[in-house]
Amino acid sequence: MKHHVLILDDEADVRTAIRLQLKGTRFEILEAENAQQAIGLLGDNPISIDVIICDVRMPGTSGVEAAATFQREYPTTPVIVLTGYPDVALAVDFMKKKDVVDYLIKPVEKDKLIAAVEQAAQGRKLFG
Amino acid sequence: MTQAGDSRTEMYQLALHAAPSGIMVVGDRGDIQFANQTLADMFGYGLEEILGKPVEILLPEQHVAAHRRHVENYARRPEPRPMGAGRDLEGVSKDGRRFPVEIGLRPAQTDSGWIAVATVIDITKRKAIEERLRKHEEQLEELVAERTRELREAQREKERVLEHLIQAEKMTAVGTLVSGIGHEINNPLYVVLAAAEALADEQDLARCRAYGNEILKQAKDIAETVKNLSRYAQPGARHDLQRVDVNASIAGAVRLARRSLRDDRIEIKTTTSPAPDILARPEEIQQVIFNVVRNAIQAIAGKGLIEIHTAQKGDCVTVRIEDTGTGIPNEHLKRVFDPFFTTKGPDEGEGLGLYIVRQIVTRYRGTIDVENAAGGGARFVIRFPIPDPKNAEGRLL
Repeated sequence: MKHHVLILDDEADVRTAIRLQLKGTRFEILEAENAQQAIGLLGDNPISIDVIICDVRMPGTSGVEAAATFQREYPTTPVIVLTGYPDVALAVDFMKKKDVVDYLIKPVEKDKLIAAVEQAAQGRKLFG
Repeated sequence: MTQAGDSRTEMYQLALHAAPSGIMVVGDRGDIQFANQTLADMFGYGLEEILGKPVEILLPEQHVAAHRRHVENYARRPEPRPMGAGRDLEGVSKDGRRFPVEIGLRPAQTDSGWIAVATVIDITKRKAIEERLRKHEEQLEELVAERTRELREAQREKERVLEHLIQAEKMTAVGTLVSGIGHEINNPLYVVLAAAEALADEQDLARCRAYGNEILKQAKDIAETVKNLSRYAQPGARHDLQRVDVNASIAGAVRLARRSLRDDRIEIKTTTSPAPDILARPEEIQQVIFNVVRNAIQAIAGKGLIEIHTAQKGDCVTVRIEDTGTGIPNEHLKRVFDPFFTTKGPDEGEGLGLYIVRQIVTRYRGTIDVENAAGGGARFVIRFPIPDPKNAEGRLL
């Protein structure tokens, strides 16, 4: 079975950066530039998406709302928040609600991102 | 002489001796031919002690020589001299006490030659009063000067405090930008990082080059963002006036304002037409636009539009900033430029934003007006004067 990471970020540059960092791992990349697209992709590949990497500040539906939706619809799919806007209160809020398993700040180093994705994917197995 | 003549002479004598002024008759050789009792008392002599004596005995030693010359001149060209005319005069009493006097002179021709009738007043008391008055005036002037200094100092202090507040307000505005800026910098920085990581692992030269170009592009983007921000945060007072393209200032301010927006609920639309440069500090013009736009952003509750329009009208560059916000209640229209006037919460600034706008605009001899647009939002119109081309390099301030 294929393993996928779904990237939700409104900026193509950022999606490219994540794609570059995950190159050579066992994951294939799916990209969405807004929450609707992401939900569509999740519907198409409910099993194969291991991890969602989600931005916070986006036009339209924010990452906060998107993460809550993912958690509700696909509770076993872990969400990693990757934001360029570090906000301690927001991070704590995410963690309390268990909507996300990790909270990373852009720019994140490759090793750290891969480790977070791997760890999240392992967690999913336990859930599943 | 008849009896009647004797009694009249006696009466005259009595009147002369009782006069409040000293009176004497001086001959053309400077001898005292007559003196009344008042004069003798004034100088501390008995009448008989001065009659027939040279008038110089009544003068301080150092004035004697000058007085002789005056007497000679006076004998050649005798004419009346009113009281108080001429220099400050001094008399000296028998016991050596010097005192200020005022002397009036009236010449008369007699059988035995010219005489001068001198009227002498001791003006010691008047001089003392005058001196006191002069001292009071001096003190008063000193007080006025001191008070003026204090007022100037207070004014300077006020300006200093305001300058601090304005700087603080700028920093608050920068603070609201920081969240946006973090995003603006971190995203390209992230691409730089990822491309650099990829570059380190890459063997293929063409791909290496592509990563390098990507890094370059993103780094330039970051540099531009930082440049914009640091220009905004600089204290303006240290810079000289420059030619400023208002349209460029608007573009810079709009870029900053967009960054402070967390989502796309508010659209900022700019319609510019070419306008001559004005003479100003570029960062201040950018701040004017930014503050008005920020005000508009805060006035828009849900979705909305901010339109910025520039035009050259006569000898002014006009900037119109209109929003689709809630507008300004009529009773507030006159007060929006007042310092510390705010209808917003404590997190949205000190109420100095529009005050600073007006301060800057008026410093450049421009004007700013506000009204409610037909659509309900606020409409600010700023006019910057276009400098006279003959004096374009001159200083406005």
